Amino acid sequence: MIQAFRKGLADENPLCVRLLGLCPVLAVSARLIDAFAMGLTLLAILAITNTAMSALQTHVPGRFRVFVCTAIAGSCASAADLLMQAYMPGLSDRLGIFVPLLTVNSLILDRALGFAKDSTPGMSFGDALGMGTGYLLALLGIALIREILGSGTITLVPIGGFSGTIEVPGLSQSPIRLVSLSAGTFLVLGYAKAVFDMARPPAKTNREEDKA
Amino acid sequence: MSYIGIIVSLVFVNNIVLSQLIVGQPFLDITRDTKTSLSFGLVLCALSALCCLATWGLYHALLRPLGLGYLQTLAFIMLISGLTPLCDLVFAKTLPVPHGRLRAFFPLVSTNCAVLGICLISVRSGYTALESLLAGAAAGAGYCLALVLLATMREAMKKEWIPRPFRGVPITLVSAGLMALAFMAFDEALLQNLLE
Amino acid sequence: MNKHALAAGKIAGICLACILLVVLARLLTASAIERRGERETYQILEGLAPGRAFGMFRPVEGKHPVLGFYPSWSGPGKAETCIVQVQGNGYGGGFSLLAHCADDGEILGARLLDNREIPGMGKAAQSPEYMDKFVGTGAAKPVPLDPKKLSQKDLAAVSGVSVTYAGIARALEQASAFVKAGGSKK
Repeated sequence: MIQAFRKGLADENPLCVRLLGLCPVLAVSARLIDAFAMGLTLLAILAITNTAMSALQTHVPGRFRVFVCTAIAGSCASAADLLMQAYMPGLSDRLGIFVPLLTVNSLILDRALGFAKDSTPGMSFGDALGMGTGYLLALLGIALIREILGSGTITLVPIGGFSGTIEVPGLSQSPIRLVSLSAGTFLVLGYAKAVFDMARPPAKTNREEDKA
Repeated sequence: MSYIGIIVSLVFVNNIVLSQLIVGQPFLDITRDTKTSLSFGLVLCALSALCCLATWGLYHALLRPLGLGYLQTLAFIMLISGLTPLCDLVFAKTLPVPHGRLRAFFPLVSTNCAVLGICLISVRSGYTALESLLAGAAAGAGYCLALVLLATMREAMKKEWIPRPFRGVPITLVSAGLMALAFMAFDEALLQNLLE
Repeated sequence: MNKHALAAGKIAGICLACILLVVLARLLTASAIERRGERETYQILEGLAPGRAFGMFRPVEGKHPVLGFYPSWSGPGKAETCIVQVQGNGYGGGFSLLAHCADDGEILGARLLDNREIPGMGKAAQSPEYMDKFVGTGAAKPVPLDPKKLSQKDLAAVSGVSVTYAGIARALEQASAFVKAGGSKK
């Protein structure tokens, strides 16, 4: 289980190596706190769906697996959406449609249909935690780059006298607006992936890399 | 008039991939060549129009009268993942041409963010039945357009030398970014000038 | 056959469990979401008519563009003005707005509540200043339905979206007419 946890962090990091679950990365990485909330939500949904799918694997015939998987993920995503609407209205407004869209997140589908198929529930839980944490960390990295360059701020949770926003001197007056636009998201992700690949030799899991 | 507005808005101004950033997973895998992209895009376009209409019916006939609006995500995904295999079956029975390659796309469509996304968007925008159908088709067409453009770019790039770390996924993402930048020319002012 | 029935039963059970989970989440959060909605509406009311007290929302029966109203007063005694919630038609979708009306139908302020037009349309109307040109109309002066009759400064603020403008003007006129006809006194 520990091993299943560790491989999600580095060797098979869902975002850096395999580029799974792009949808939330592209959409909510303009502010650090949004990215953190999104990553955490995804982690929770992934853990529940993965464990449930692995526990139910003998009961669900192969051709209904996708249906059952999306139904479980869908109910978790709806529940998460309702909880956010009730207790974190601002966050819920900003994340908007992307919380219900976690239902068909490719990371969740990949783990729950691929890994959980032939593993014990414990292993699947560990795998989900590892993958989710790896995803969360990568998402935080992208969001940090985008927020610093794109708006010149770092948004955290407001505590006490601290307003929750750190302004980066210089950049907050004249930020590179392009980075905070939708076009900038693709650009930042592309460059981040290139830098990541340069830092470490591409793993075998990435088919795209071998072909190119 | 509002029908034209919905189409222009969803294909160009609020393109589901390039501006709303609802990107399904196959976006990077499928854009290797233009032909696959086009056929996937067309399948997605047809199915998203159908799913949009079906989810509109489900929402307005069942969920809203019963006050179960909060179940929409769950009900929609169940409907979509039930409807796609059904279409696959009908397709296999009625189409005279062999469509083995197209059939492989069906599961990818049913788990595509863009399809669920446009269904949710059109219900939340309060569209009528015809508007939902059009919105589904237009969003699908926008997705198809983005796929084909990106695939064309990738095919052209095969002839070029690309720095090693950028080969494969990174250059594709950067190209998509530049394309999104180009699509910013289709902005709200254009939409308004066109429609008034 | 038995095996298929068993599998179908299991899948139905899973679906049911999923639905139950969402229903449970709904039961837990419904009151909090409702409270939040009320708080937000109250903030809008407060912005429209600062320093006044508001009554409960009183819905209007039947098919009418006016959905209902909140009575409002500045001191003890009878309600003097009211804030009417009215629906209008914009471009490819509707919207609803709140209009603060005096007894004689004069519009004292207005605010767009939600906009379900095509994304990108009517964005200008969401700013509170947009409604300034309607303030003071409805009683002695008619609501300016035609954007061509606006002053140059107001016309620039409309920014060419005449469908949205016409929808808002008509909705405000209906709100004003509703109050003038004594709808809020019944």
